[in-house]
Amino acid sequence: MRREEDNARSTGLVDPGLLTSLGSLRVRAKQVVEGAIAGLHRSALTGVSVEFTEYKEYSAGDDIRHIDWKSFARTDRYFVKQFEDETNLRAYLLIDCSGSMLYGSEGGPTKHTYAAHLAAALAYLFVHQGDAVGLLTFSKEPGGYLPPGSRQSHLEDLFSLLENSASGGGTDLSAALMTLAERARPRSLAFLLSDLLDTSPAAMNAAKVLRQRRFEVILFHLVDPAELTLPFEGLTLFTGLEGEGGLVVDPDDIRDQYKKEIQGYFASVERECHHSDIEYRRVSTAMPMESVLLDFLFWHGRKR
Amino acid sequence: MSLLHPMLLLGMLLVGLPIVIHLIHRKRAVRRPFPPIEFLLRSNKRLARRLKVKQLLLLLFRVALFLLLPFALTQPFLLGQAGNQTESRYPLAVVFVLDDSASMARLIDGATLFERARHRLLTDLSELKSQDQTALVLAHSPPSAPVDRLQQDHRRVRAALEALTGPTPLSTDLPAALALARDIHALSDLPARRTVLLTDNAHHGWSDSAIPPEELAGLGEVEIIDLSGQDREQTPSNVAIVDGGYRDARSGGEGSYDLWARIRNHGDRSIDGIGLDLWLDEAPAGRLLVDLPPGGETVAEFSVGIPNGGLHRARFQLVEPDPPLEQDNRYFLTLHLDRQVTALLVNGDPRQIPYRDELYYLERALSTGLEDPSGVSSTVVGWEGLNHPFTDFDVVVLANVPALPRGQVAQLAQFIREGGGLLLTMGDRVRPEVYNALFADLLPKPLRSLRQLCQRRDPDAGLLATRLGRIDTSHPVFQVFDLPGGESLQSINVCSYLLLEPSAAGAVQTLAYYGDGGPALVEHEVGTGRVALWTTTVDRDWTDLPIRTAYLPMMRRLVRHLARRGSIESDSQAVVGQWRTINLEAQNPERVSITDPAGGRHVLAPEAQGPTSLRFVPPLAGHYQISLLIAGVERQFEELMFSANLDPAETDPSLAESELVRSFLAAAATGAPDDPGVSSLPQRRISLWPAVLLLFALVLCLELAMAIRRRQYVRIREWLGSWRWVSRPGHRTRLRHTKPGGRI
Repeated sequence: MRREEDNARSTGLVDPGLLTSLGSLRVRAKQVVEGAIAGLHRSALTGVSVEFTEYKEYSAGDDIRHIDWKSFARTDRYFVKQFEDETNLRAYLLIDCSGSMLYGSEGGPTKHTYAAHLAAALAYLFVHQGDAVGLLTFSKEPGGYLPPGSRQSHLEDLFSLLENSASGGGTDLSAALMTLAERARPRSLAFLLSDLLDTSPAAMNAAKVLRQRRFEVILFHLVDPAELTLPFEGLTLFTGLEGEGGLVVDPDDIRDQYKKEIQGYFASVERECHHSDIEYRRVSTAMPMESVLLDFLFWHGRKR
Repeated sequence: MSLLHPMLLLGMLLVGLPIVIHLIHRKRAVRRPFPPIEFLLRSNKRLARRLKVKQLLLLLFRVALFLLLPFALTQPFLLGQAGNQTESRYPLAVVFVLDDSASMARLIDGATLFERARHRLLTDLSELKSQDQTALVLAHSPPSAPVDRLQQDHRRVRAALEALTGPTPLSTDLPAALALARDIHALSDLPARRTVLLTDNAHHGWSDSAIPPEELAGLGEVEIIDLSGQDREQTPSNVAIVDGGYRDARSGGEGSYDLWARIRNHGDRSIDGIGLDLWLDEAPAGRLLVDLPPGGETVAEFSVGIPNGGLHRARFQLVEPDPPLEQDNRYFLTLHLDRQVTALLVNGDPRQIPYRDELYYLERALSTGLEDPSGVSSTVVGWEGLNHPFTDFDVVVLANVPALPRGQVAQLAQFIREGGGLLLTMGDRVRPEVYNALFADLLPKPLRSLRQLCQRRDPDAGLLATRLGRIDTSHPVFQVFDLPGGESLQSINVCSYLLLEPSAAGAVQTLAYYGDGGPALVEHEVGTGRVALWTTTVDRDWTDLPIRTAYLPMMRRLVRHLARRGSIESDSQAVVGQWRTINLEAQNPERVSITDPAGGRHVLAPEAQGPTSLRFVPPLAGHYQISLLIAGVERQFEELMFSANLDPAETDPSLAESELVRSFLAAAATGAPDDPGVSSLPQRRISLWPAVLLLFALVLCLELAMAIRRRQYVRIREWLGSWRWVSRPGHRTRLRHTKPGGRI
């Protein structure tokens, strides 16, 4: 990870710490995307849209102009009409806004900030390719939801929702995934940006359900470097950010065991994802966002 | 264990500091939010036991550090007994007091206590520093000092020790020996003094001394090395002959003697059938089996016949397998049986007809005229022509003597005070008032008047006369009358006798009474002599005793008793190591030679007009011979021979009471020099603080090893690993720091 940071500096990529100090999210997203696109030889997402028409049950955020009133008359339910020209690609961004995501080691961005910027960059990229992108934030409960859209104004709404998404509290990843499964159209892309500290098996099961519904799930596992190395010294009172209690311990005493525990957990998550055909990407918040995006685009394109 | 700076122990109060620091440190723990705390909790749970042990060990180490450091700073030390040369200290003056008395010959595990003491002393001597001064005192009585001046040449003491052949047969006087050690110390200019007493610590060694505890003041501290190897609760076993003697046999036969020995069992178990042999003139004369109660004693008596009298050497020997102390199983006796008693018989009523003479019967009773070595040689004189010097005789008999010139009475009194004997017998010529005036200082009791019960020729004399009544059969004169046939004495008839005035009970002893209660024979001592008063006649005028069978033994025994020839001479027995006075009997010798039992010859030269006695300390147990050189001719005087035996106290192995010893040691400690170093210096000081500091360093290393952070350890290891030996052509191989930017 240190090597990646060094590489970022050497290639002129924006340092994640510096990124957070730049202007609006749009500017930052644009900068990241341009930095990433500049490194691509071709667009990884061109020519992949599917041409068909269908109805989708109305959900909050859908344009009411597209409600099919005839269907409403027949079924007493709201359906929104989907047009061929706007269904090239539907991508959903699921942002973990739990308390644990508010953690950032000294000098670096919080995981939530990093996730928001990464999501903004992805949204910017999708919209500028003409694809639709939606957003779902969640913590203990599913939070704000923005259905997919591909207009510039939609992007502004998405940025606005991202900037105001930090909430704290616990995590219920499975509830968020099930919400998405209910609301989103199958065969969509689902980007999950989370630190995955909700270790309940239900979360992974929900991800599997999503996958079974023909979603292409890409998991960005955000990890702060301190969470990997436990670099602290001296007697420390560790407290959880989601009400897990506290522990007074000398980090030296348990560092090795901790590393073993957490890396074992990460390995098990990666293994589960692999088995469920979920694309797993562990992202250190110390890594330049451009390289994360570039890496994703490069390898995702090759995969397709 | 002692501490040089005990106040620094207060530093141990800091022991609570690690705990306080731990608690404060815990309160000051950095609060840090950390999302994956679940993994921390899980890790902590897995490592909980190990961490707890580590924390506990750390706490222990830190507590130990705070205990050890103040303890080391107090400079603790031990006082040891030996190994002085390894300890830096001032030169030491050491007086070794070695008990070489008879009791030190006691065997324990095949070695005598003396040998053990000498070995220990030689070991101590070899451990002294070369500049230490030493002297040696032997604690027999009276004590002696083979090395009587403190000197750095330890070989003197070593040579003196090696020259000692073994324990002496002398008695012990530990306080006197310590007093001598104090005098030797007084001549030393070294402030540090040490007195080491090696002894069996027997009770008699302290209790029998004439030196009071106060006289040991100024000696200082005394180190007692008790070699007895016994505890105070247990009494070691030992059987010893503690006394012996001889006397005329109770059977009364001429030439028969009873030789007796007193045997004491010092142990707490009874002993049955232990053999006691009697050797007479180095020939076995008999054996007795003796039973001894625990802690008690028994008198064993041999009856032997020695018809020829003369000088004889007797020895008692206990037959004891593996005796702990061989010397006390022997006891020596010198028997003087040839000294015929000489008596001056003064006749107060001489007659022409022999059987009417006052002394007719007595003279014949004392000497039968036959070969009679045990008889009494008597000289008969009339009272009016008396001019013999009394000192030529052992005993004087005044038989019915009316009176004597006052000058002769004075000579007679002087003779008695110097050990002579006087027998006064009554008769019709004795006037009580004359006797009371003339012999006031000699009479056991004043005479009162005549008691006449009948006339000798009276037909009713048998009825009117009184008889002898109660007699003291424990007295040597009447001992034989306690045997079968002895009752004949009571059958005599007494028609008249002189009554005595009553007097205060005291030194006067009534040996026989008449049947009507009047005293028959009374005795008392005047000076060193004896006077006996027979209140009736020694002829047939007042009594028929002279024609009775009891007359001869009674008179002979009475005369011999008055002459003090009937039992062991008080001056024929001596104690080894104690002064003995030799009475030269006005021989005025030019030289006196004494031959001891080992054949050693001790020559004493009295002054020409010196005293008639000499003093001599017998060095060994056994028989001693004495020769006098008179007018150029040396002649052996058998009557001066004597025997010497061990001090009976030396046979008692019981330990001295702690209080008794403590009183002497406490007195010795008083008045010692005030130099605080003096009392502590005699013992070796073994410093403990280096060991404590070493332990402190060890604990500190352990604490650091446990407390050091992994990262610090890795950094140190990396730093150490970054040094390399670098060799370049044309340059020497050097150690270089290979890390960029590192200093060489």
